[in-house]
Amino acid sequence: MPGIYVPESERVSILVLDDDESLREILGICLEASGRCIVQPMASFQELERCFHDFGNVIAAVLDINLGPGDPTGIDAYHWLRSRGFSGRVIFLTGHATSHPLVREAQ
Amino acid sequence: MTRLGRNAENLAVFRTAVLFAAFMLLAQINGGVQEYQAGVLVAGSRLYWLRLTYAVYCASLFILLLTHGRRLSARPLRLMPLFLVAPAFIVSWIAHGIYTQRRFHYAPFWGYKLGFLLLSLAPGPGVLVNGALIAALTLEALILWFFAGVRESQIGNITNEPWITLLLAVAAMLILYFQNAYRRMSQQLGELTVRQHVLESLTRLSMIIRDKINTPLQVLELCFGHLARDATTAVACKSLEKIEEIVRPLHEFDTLIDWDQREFPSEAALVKQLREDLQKDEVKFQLRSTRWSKAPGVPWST
Repeated sequence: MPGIYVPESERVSILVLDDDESLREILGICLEASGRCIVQPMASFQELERCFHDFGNVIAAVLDINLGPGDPTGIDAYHWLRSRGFSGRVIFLTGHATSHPLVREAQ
Repeated sequence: MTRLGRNAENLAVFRTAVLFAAFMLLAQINGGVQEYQAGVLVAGSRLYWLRLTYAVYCASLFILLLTHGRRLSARPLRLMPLFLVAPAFIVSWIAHGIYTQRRFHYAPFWGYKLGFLLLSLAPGPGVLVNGALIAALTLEALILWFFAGVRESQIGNITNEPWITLLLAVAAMLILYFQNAYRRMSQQLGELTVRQHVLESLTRLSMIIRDKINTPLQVLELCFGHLARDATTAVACKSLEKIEEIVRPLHEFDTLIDWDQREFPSEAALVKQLREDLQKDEVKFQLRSTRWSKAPGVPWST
């Protein structure tokens, strides 16, 4: 995954928040292939809120912007993570129009 | 025309018909009273019976319109000015003849002038009927003036006739023409608004579909990237690139859409809305010779 530095000495976690199961799975496979990180896949913002404190040493978060109609977005998840003191790298994923206000906000 | 437009126009035609009937009834009552006071209208005379019959006829139509008018179809309503004004040709002709015979001092063609004014305000496709009525009334007034002795009866009076009547007839025709042009323009504007609404929804839908395709594309790309390179994966990757190429031009048109909401719209909701819109009579228009409301269903579940 470009932009994420995984230290060789320690085992770290990377959050993957995406409502698409296939994408969560393949991202997990790709990231864990390095053998130095554990991927914490989550399907919704609610799940992230529920489970975040159970994860140790999270160094990065890969957030999908659109988590489904009517649901909190990846931007909400970003603000929530920052408000919880998360200082790791955040990467936004989206297949949506760059002109959409939420995608522009993420940029 | 849209259903809303038709309803609005039918209502306007109904109101005009009621107004017409009321006006013609009042005109007969007023004409009768004036003639009675001037001694022209005598009980039992031809003019008396004509005025009375015409007044009863107008009153009957007025009552019919008030009680059953909304249930009548648009066609008889549009023809109502014709039904109401047609007897006026005879009554007017006879009344002017009697006035002239008796060398009665009167201002000629006032009924015609007021009739022009009313006929010019009629909305809807009654334009041709009303235009023809104005032309016929003008012709009658001119015949009365030049060939039925009205001119001679007015010698010594400055009436500016028949030119003032002619001028008012032309003005009424122009008002009728411009009012009709304005009505058509509003109608087209309404249809364009509906068309724009549908096209905007379709554009949004295509963009959402494109965006939705992106996720499985990303998954496939990652999957193929993870697999060992061989002839099979090479072919698959090539096909994947082809799909990406097909979708890529749509990026160019992102900025054309005004995403007026912060939330991502759901394609199912959009398809549902679009289907509902297209099923409405308001959206019955043709684009590229396709009747949208009868188009086959969009292959998404809602």
